[in-house]
Amino acid sequence: MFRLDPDTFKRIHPIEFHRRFLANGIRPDGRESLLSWRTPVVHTGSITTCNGSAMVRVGATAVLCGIKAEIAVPSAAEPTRGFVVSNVDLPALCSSNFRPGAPGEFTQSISDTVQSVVESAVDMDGLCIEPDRAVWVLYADIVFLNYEGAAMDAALLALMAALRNTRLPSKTVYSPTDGTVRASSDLSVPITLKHLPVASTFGVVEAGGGRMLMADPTEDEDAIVGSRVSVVVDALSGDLMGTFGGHIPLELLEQSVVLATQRAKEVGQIVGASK
Amino acid sequence: MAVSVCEREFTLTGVASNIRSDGRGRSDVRAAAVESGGISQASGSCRVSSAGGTTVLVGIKVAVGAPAVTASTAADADLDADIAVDNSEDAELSISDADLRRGRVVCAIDCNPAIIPTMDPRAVEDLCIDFSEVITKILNADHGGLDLQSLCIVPGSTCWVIHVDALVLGYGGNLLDTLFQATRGALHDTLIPKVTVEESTSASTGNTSYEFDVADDETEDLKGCENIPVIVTLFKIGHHHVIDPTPLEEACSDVQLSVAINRKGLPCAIQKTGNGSIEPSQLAEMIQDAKAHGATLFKDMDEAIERQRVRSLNDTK
Amino acid sequence: MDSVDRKRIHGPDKSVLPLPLLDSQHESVTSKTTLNPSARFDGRTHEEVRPLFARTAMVSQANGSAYIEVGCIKIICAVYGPKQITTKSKSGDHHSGGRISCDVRLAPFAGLKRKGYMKDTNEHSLAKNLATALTPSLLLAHLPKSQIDIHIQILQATAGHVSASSTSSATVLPPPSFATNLSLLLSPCITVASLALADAGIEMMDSVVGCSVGLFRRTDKNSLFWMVDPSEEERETRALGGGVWVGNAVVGVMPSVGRISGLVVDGDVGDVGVLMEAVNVCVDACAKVHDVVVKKALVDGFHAASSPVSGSSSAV
Repeated sequence: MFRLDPDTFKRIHPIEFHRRFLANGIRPDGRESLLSWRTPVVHTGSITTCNGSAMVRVGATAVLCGIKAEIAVPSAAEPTRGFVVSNVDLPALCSSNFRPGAPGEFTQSISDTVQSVVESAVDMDGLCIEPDRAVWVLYADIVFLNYEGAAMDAALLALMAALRNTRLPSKTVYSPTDGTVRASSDLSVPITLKHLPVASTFGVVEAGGGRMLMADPTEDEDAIVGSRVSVVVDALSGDLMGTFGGHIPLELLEQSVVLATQRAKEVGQIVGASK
Repeated sequence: MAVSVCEREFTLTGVASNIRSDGRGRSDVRAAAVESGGISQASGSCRVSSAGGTTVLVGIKVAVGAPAVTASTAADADLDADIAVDNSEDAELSISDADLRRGRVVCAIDCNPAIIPTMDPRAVEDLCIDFSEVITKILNADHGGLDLQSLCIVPGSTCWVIHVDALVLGYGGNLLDTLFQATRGALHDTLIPKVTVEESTSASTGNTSYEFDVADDETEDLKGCENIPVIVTLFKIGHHHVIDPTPLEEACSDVQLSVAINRKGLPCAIQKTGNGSIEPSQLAEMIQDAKAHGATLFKDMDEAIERQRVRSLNDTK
Repeated sequence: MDSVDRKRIHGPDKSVLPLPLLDSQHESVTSKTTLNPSARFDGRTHEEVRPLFARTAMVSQANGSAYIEVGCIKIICAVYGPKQITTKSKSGDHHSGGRISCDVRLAPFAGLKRKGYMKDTNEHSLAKNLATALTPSLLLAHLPKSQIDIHIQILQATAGHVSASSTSSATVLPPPSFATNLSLLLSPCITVASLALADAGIEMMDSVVGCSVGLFRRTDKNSLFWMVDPSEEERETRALGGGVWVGNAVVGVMPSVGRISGLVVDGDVGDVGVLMEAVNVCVDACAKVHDVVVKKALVDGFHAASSPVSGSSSAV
């Protein structure tokens, strides 16, 4: 009798392939429940051209975040507020689903979300060097090297780990005559983080006649995910910092927030252990 | 360009027997005419047309602009405007000191795809970009001959930017060498307006500011033109190599070696292109040949430029 | 150029790196001049390459991938394909073979000053020279109407910030202009791309290994000498008095067949004799790198793929 091997089956009938896993409550990558997560692995400080960097792996997904500190003039409205500029890049290198060139809508939406979250997490006034004259601008560039789902979770995790790893010069001297800033060559001052946001992404799937949550869907599992929502919880206080994404029944949203709060604590410990 | 098996065989055998389809030997070049100064509104121009049909026109425009690193932040300034620049830009001097204290060259090549019908329009575009990068890279380098420091107006903020705009008017092979010849000729023809810079230090803040004035009528030659190298591209066809190839010969070549030769007759930049590979021994042989051709080309170019100079002097009299 | 890239998040219009505090500058200048001019910074011989780390199968989504680390340079490469050419073109006729497309990107944080996302000419010329060096090794005639995409991301391109404890000269010297420095990136790009192509199972004659050589002029005599695989500090030895950097050559070599597939030379490299000597030393160095590193990475990659537990330990 003709039999399909699993890889071929997955390729030809992706939806049916994933439905069969779903019906048994298990996942193709070996996870034993719909609500289990891939445990992130965090390495920091590998890129030495940066003030701070972090490499995060979630399953096969690998993302690298590098932070560079430069000096800029603050805006007139908020003379002591520094800048954090975070961009997510999903280059063609990381998956065949992405094209080279300008970022697509998916990439843009993740960039925007990450940017809005990080702005509330960093103590922006702590980046001030000389009010109205000079502030630090932290450029955070988040580059995916391998993409297998969990874009939002991994990107935010890499960014927060890199921010924790970031060190600024211990001494800065602003010269009022020519407007330049001189800084000592040692990098020793960490930046102040008010929150430690952790994103947890859920997919909404239809199974057994009802809708239920699937935690941390992979790229492949997108085939059966109806909509997705990323719940961002502060790992330090346990407060909800926002939900991003769309279309989720209210009772599932409640459930997702509860689950995300638990997970934020666990992930917070992993990030906390990194330097 | 697709070449049939017979055409390829014909070309290969010809090159191997040292007789090319137009009767030349492997190291013979086609005659080329160099005319400079054709475009009156340009700062300098030159047209090179080879007997093989390759014709290129290069126009030079000099403009006041910003040095390399600040290029994106400072807009090109109006030629006749006096601009006061304070040195708040000094913060950037540390980034790459040398680059900020000299002028730069920007090259753009335009070629209508219809001129090279055997190539895909996209490929023609890529070719133009590649060649303009090669020319830009050589002219901006230390070994490019031009005295770029003399093009600096205000260190760190203002310098002369030399725009080299090349137009390909006809194609009969050997485009890069011809383009570079024309660029060289046009730079020889280029006159840049004289600039006077005044430095003033304000007593209150201690800041030094510069004011400069671009003369309307006084001009000077570009310094270091005579030291610009020449490019000789060797095309390996079969086991031999030729110079100044026809389009068919170019299509049969699997390795191209572009060698820039300076006035001392020594190589100062080499780039290999093409889909083939080469043995080290043959590489040495090719570079030696390029040196010999480079010396001849230098002599021819010098003579052609001198003739042009004499002619233009007679014209003005 | 008023069109703003609205697809990225932008910070302030302009930002600069801080200048170094003056006192720290003086100390390091004096410590530099005491270095022995003829020896190399890390005690290598002139023919020796830097230690090199390479491994394959880094990007699970790609058909083949590789990662390389040489000194401070970190590069990852992924190969997708061969896949069908979708765009119609005149040159894509039936008897022409496949083609490769190379894309080299510098991560924004790879250099000392942050680089924007817009592709610049340096990345373009790196990609072009890379394609030239790789094409001769591939049997593209066997892959008609198909394309192989080679994506390279340079994660770190130069030595980084130096901490107080380090005596490296990186902070004192003005960062070398990036354009010239980029030529030093070409050789690891060639090696890593060829590894990734092999990992993708693309038919090839030989792997290509890249090697660069720096040419220096002795300041006392007017003679040239070379150093294989120069590091960034060595490139900037102008200050040392031992030798002045006059140029460099990057060679792509197919070690098993002993042929040169790529060559880029810049600078007043003197007569052909010295240059060819340098090129030949590169060829030998590439053969060594091929034997020791490339083969091992491929064999390790193959074993990792065939064993049930794939080693996914972090290299970065």
